[in-house]
Amino acid sequence: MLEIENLHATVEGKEILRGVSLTIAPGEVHVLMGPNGSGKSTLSNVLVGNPKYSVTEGSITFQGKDLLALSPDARACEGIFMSFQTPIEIPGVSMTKFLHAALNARRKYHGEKPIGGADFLKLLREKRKLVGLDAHFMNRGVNEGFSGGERKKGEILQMAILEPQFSILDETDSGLDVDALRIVADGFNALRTEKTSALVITHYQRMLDYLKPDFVHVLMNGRIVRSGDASLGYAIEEKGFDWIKEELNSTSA
Amino acid sequence: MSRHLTQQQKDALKEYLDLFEQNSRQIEGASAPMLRKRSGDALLRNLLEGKDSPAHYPNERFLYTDVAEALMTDYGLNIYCRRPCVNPAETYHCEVKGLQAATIYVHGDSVYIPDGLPQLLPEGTYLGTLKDCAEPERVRALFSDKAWEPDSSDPSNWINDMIALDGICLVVPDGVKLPMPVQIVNIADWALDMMSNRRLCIYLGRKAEADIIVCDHAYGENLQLTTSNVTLQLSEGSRLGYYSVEQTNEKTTRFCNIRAMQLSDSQLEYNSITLQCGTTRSTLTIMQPEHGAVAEVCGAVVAGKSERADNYVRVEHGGEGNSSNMLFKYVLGGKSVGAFTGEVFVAEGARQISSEQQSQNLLTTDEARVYSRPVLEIYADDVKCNHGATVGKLDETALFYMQQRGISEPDARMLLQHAFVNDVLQRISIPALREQLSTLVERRFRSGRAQCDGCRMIDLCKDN
Ligand SMILES: Nc1ncnc2c1ncn2[C@@H]1O[C@H](COP(=O)(O)OP(=O)(O)O)[C@@H](O)[C@H]1O
Ligand SMILES: [Mg+2]
Repeated sequence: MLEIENLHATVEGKEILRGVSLTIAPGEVHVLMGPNGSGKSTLSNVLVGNPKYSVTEGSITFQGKDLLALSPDARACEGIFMSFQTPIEIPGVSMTKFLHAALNARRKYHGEKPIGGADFLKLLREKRKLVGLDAHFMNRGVNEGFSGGERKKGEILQMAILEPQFSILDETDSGLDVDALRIVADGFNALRTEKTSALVITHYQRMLDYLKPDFVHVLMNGRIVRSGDASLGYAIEEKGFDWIKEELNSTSA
Repeated sequence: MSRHLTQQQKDALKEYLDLFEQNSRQIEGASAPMLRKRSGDALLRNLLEGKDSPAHYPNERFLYTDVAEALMTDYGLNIYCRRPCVNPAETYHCEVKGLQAATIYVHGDSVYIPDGLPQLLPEGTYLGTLKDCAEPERVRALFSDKAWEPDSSDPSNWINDMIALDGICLVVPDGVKLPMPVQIVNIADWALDMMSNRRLCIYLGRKAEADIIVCDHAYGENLQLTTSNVTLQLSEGSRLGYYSVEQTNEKTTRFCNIRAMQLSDSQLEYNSITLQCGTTRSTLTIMQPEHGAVAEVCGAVVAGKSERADNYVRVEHGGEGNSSNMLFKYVLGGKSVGAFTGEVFVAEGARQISSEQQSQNLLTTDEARVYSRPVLEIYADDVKCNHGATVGKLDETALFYMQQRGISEPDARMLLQHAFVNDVLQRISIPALREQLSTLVERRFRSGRAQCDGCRMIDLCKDN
């Protein structure tokens, strides 16, 4: 589904990703861990085409297409979704209007007829239940006056409406209380299918417990330095990242 | 703009004066009786002769709109009251979806009252031309002199005062609430460069209530200059909603000057939306000499290309417990220029006055310009006065967030710009108008045009 090869990327002239390679197959959930500043959000932003980040080398193929040749909105319409680490507010554009526009943009991209207002409201009502956001949130501006937890639930709600093939969750679990974390993780799990896959960035074991990922990768200094199964994640939760650094130093020395 | 009139500008202004003087008998005879006491000619004469008088131009109120320059075009004038051969009420149509209104059409400066219109309004209400008004002396005396005086800083207003022959008059008696808004559809569509001088006088009796929607349209390839002189008198406890929508074109220069007298406990809700224009300037002067008057003054401008839009609001607070609140939002693209001035004057001895003004602007190109200026002139202590201005660009982070959800960049821009302007639209208290304007603003952002579905022009005889 997604093949990243030797990806190098810079932000504001600084090289952050220095040769990332990663392959994700349909149905798989990959967890990405790594110390703060190691480039996890950079990788996510590069995948979704954030113009602040420039790719200097390497390639990304998504379902056979050259992802780097597509605009951010085309990537989204192709089925890539990112739950932002810090979802921003868009005052004045209601959540309902925004999501309706987003869904219809995707339908148009695939040559489907737009979904009408009434049908959309029905769909929205149904999907809201998944994350337990009340109707009044939908009439507010996007994320306007939402708490941190409500914003993260809002991201999962958007994912539920848009039904992406590939999702990136950038620390969607950070800053959530136990209940909210469970709602977010359950919501995500409910949306999983054999055809969808995900890259989940997290620091917490609890997320590993909920998601039961197929693979765990460790990003350090802009490179994936370890890959393994869930047990790698648990080892990091227990021992931190230093042991990996030490191992790396000893092998390079 | 220069600080002095050029000789050419003086000559052009002098031509208007000469025209008035040479045709004074015709003008006198053709005028509505209410308009016969003119003072615009004296103001203009004094200015040109350099006499000591209240008239002054150029001046600090017109820093961003050059009236004298605009008056240099050789416009035709309709002082013989020729009516276009087709009644615009029959050939033109402007409707707000889902809104029943008492609609009057004005082509150039000719007013058309559709049959059956007066019957739509409660007894004792007068809605018609100034000329047809049965008791001109009595009606004129309903207005405060200060509301009736021309604006001493605005030559377009003097010329209007000097040569406007007729206009529209609405008188709502004490205690009467109009069951529907009055809509005035102004059309400029001439086969030559024309100047049209319009008048509108609205009197609301005690506790009377009315909503007015003024739509300005312009068509055709010729230059159009329109001046509007609007007098509003709000008696004790009355409420007026005044909504102005401009959808003209790049050939149009529009000068609108509104003077509103607000007596005790009256409410004025003013909302001016410029969707498309050439050069447009609205000057609104609100006087609150008594107590408890409230003015909510809002406006939005969407401009691109070389459009120029200028709103000047002056509120004169006296008395006690009076307040004003201004919100103006502009979205400027292309090489357009926007200006906003909120001038607050608080008279000596005034008490418990509050005034708030916000000017928020979005520039979507590097060439667009905005000038936003608060002017505070305060001679009292018991005053709460706030003002703020922002100039920004579209939020790139928000744009990206929307694109990440699949929304194309142009659509994302449109949504953000619409949301920005919508703040002002939300303050319109007629739901159908609010909806329609919201649609028009969206259409304006999408296609650069803001034509409504309901509006169309059927063959106004262009050969004439
Ligand atoms: N928009 C940006 N502007 C400037 N520097 C950035 C930006 N995004 C990330 N960086 C820098 O790139 C590095 C990696 O950041 P990031 O990818 O956010 O790390 P992580 O998500 O792993 O914590 C950091 O040094 C950070 O300061
Ligand atoms: Mg991060």
